[in-house]
Amino acid sequence: MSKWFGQKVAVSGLSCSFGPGVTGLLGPNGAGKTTLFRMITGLTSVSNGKITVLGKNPRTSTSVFASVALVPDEDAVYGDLTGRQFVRYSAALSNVTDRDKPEEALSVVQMGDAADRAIGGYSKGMRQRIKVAAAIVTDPDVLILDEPLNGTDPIQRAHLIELFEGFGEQGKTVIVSSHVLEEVERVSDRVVAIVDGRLAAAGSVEAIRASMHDIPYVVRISTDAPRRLGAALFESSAAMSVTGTDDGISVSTNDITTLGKDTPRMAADIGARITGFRPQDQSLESVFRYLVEGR
Amino acid sequence: MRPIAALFVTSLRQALPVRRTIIFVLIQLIPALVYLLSTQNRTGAAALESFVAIGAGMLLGLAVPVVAIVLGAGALGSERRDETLSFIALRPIPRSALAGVKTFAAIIAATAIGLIGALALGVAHVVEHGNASLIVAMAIAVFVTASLYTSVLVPLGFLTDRAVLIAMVYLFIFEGGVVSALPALATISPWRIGLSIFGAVASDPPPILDELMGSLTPSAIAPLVAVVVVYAVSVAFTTVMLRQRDLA
Repeated sequence: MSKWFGQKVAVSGLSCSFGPGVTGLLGPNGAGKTTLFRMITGLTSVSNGKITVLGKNPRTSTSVFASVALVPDEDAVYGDLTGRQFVRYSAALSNVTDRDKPEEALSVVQMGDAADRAIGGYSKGMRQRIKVAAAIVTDPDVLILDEPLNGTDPIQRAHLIELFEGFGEQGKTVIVSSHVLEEVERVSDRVVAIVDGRLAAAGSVEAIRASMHDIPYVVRISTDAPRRLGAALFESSAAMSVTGTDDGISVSTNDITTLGKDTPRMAADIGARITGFRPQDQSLESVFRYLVEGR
Repeated sequence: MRPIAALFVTSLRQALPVRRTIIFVLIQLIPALVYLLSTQNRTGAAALESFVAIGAGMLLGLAVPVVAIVLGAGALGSERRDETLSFIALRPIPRSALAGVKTFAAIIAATAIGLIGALALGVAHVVEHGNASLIVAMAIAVFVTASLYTSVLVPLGFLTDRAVLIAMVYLFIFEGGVVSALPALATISPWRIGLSIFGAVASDPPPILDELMGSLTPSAIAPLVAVVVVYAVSVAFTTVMLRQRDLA
């Protein structure tokens, strides 16, 4: 699908799918994440291409919203309503008949104590949580969360992440965008990365990293004999370059598996002791940096 | 039914927060106050003429339209500006129902506020001259006037942030100036359409009514038909916009 606003292309030829479990949507500011969410929910039209949600076009079929909920990035709340009124309103609009659901949702996001205060007086973190409560009260099959962790403190953040993980484990489709990469990594089964409106990568972090053949892995090896081990590793076909570090050596490789086999063998041959073998750039943050920088 | 009821009740509540309601009510009381001050030395036909002139010029021609314009423009316009439109749009509610309920709630709110003005003016007339027969006619005229302005302003308010300004220019420049000078254009003046149903329902209205209505004649049916048609067209237009336009 593509989306352009006048001359500006927001999303270009993007093709991806989201299924049960938690998927992290990543991209730098302005990459097109929010536009993608708006297209998925039918709030914004698609300039070219097609989107289906649960087999229906969200732009024309409002019935799909019985199973889809969005927590938008912006403060889409009514400041003069209390938290409880807001969540009850959300439940009523989605025809939720179970009268206990709003209280359950408030309890799940730990907003029970502040539920009778006007939302206008809430902190950013509280607004985020009340928006999450308004979304989950409808018991959606598809939950779309645009930067839901913004403004939350570490305790609230950990609780929300746990909540999203729980939804994913229940088989619901959870799509979450966040600039807090380590938390996305923790919560997501897979990630979809968008850069400049285009799909940069999709899959598990490990699979995406493994597909970056042109970017060598960097492995830090801690040893009591860095010079001798470094020299020995030059003999390994897996080592592309070796540099010294404070507590050992840093090795670039395109074949981390072979390097993992060669290193202990060569260390044994020269009588060196290895105390650490740590790939340095397999984290989501590293992968994301490579994707954004186009390296 | 529950989503529709919730949307209606919350829309009413959004339309009339306490501070705004107080201001609106005070605006509606001005015609009654002016009537009381201007009719102290008048009796009979002169007082009746004042009632109609003030009711038409100040209540139907000013106080009710101002309130209806603000409420109509804000019905969906404020949801769009406050970025809460996605909250109501992403629901299993047809867009037509969304448009219909928001418009209907705005009409009810504008009419309720306008009825306070009609009642106040009617009570003032009763206090001064003991005649309560015109209250019902004025109340119906308020409903027609409020409905027409509100219905037009809901889609306009959704379309542009300048809806209130545009409508005020229409009210003061076009209706107040142009239509007064060219009575044949009275058919596109909502408050004069409201006045025409007042003329049909009120018993023995004074001659000044004909002058105020322009080319319109008293009618009980045509204004109600206009209300239904304008409401239907407004809802249809708003529905199309909700379907076609980007909502965020």
